[in-house]
Amino acid sequence: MNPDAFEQQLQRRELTQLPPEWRAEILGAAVAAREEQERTESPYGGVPWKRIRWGALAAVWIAIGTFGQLDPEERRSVGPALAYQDVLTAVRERTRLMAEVRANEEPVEIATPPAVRQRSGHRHDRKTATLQFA
Amino acid sequence: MSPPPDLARVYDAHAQALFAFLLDFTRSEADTRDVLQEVFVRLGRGDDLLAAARDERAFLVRMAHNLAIDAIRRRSTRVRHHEQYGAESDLTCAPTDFTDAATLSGATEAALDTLPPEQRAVVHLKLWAGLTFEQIAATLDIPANTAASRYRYGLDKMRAQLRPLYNEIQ
Repeated sequence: MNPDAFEQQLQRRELTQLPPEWRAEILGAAVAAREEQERTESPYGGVPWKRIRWGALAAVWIAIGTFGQLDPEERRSVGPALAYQDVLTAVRERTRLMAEVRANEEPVEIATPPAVRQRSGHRHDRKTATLQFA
Repeated sequence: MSPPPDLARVYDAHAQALFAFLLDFTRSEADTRDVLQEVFVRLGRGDDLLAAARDERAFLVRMAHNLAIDAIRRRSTRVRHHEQYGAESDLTCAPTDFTDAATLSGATEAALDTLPPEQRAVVHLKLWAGLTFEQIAATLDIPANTAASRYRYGLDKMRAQLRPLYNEIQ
């Protein structure tokens, strides 16, 4: 009996057939498990988790879309979540006012302190000093 | 209460193969039924467990194999393996009318029963599921060399036990 013949002999073994009555029982248990899990996982009674998740996501997108349609004034009235917008508007207003003030001021010459010139070690400055002595 | 079409399809496509594998692996119809049901209960609970599987059959056999290992461990704490074999050995193979064939079939079952479960798993997948060693390795998550050596050891043991019977019949 060589190995191939032995393997072929074994391969001829007829396998037992799956009992047909198991199908309904096993699939019934699987369906019951699925329904049970959906019921126990959901905080809203029989509503499945999948639907709750999609519903929540849709609600968030609707809220974002609605908020995007509002004017800045309306957004400000929505609540404290808009503090950032208020700060931004205030900064812009202040910048504009500062620009106006600067535009109305007369030019003022700012005298350079003499100590700064004395400390300068540039060759150009030294040359000027020499000329003054002369 | 009718099952969802996906579960019914998976059952019709793979349950017979899983049943044969589990019956050879566990050598117990009760464990086979429990594990097969557990596989489908998990499929029912899981959100598209099979969606990510490249090979449905391999995925299911691996899941069944892992669950069956747990079942065998649980059972071994309750009953000794050889005690159960006496009552259930004739369940694993279809009955035949021929005396020689029946003798051979019973001896084959007895020889198969002496193998360790992991060798039985490989022998079953190679001989009766028609998988290659690479496919067996991927299915059982073991190296291909390990699959080949388990098959060789298992087959050698069965050959040693069945040789006298084959010689007598032929």
